[in-house]
Amino acid sequence: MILNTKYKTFIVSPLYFTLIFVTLMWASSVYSAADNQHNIGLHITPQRCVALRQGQTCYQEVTFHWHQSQKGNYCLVELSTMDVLQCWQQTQSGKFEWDFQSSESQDFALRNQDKTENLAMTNITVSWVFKSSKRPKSSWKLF
Amino acid sequence: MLYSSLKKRSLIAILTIAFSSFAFSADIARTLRTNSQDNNDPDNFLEVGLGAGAFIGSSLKDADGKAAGLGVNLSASYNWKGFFIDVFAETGEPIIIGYNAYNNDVWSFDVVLGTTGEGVSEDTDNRFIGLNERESSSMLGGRLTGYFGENILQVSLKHDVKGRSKGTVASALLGRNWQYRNWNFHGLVGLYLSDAKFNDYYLGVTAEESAITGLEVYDGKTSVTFNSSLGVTYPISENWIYRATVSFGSDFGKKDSSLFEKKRSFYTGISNSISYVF
Repeated sequence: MILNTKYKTFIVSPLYFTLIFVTLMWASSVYSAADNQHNIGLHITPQRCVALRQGQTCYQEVTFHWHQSQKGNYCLVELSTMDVLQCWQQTQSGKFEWDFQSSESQDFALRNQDKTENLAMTNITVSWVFKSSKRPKSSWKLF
Repeated sequence: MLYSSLKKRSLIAILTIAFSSFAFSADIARTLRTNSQDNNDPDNFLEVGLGAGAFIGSSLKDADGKAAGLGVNLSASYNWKGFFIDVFAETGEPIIIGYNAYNNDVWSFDVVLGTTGEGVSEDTDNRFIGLNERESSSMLGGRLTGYFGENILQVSLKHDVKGRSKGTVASALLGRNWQYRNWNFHGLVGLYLSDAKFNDYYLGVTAEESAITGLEVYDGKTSVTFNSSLGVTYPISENWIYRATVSFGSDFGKKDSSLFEKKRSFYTGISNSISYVF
């Protein structure tokens, strides 16, 4: 059966709609990623690491993005140990890929090199599926 | 696809294969899976999942001893002041009620009461019409578990206090877990002993039963079977986990019963599941 133009348009339109929707989603994700990189601040993706059991070391490949309003010498610092993960010279933005390995959540900050003031902060949260509790040490128990 | 060529099986067989995680080599499997160490155990949990599995071994019903399928699995554990109840929690019995009587950093001793699954009955297969029904047994005993870093040793001894089989079973399991990034692997080997009374109740065929059913007379004997499994568990998110297990073991001493339609000296199986943890 031959369809008239009106019906053809009606039938084909879901295809157009899908194309437009996918394009918009892609554009949105690209814009969002670009936005993350150019926002003033420090961002991590992904921000959560999930271990099987509480207390277990959690592994996660993460990417830091940061952006500042002025060029300068900046360092990325892990705040619990004060370890410097990476420094940049005379730049306004940066990206750093890191293999996160920890059993606990960690906080990170961007600082001016040789200074202690935190310009921007973020964190990686460690969560788990099974909570683990230490059985109390005891001797024989009676009912 | 592999499964498409296999016959459709009973729901019970499929559920047992795919979702009990091959309970023959269980009891400490859950501890190993969760990568627990130093006598740490997970708290209360409830899991509901979807899985698939395939199995080749001895079978009471099927001529080829092969099975595969999809199914829903459920497992749970509740602990309160030393008392615990495990339901389909990768243990040898479907339900175990117990009490943790002793523990220190290395050793733990539990008094346990478990029910075995039911044995064959007339409903199991037409071949068994006229056979006396084998009912579940209540196995009371103890299990001693030792935690040595990433290695776990467990020995158990249980006796049927319900009095149907008056049988005794014992097991010795050795397991180890290790972690590669967020993948949690475990290996487990075990020996299981069932005495002649236990095997005779579930697998024996009396002369009277033989006369009615045509099955060959069989007297149960003491058996020792070997069981092993290798598995991996991966946390997909805080509530979702993926599991895969490959199992291998022997059926020596049991497969000779005339109740088995297909007798194989060894079994092997594979299962996969995705579960939601509440």
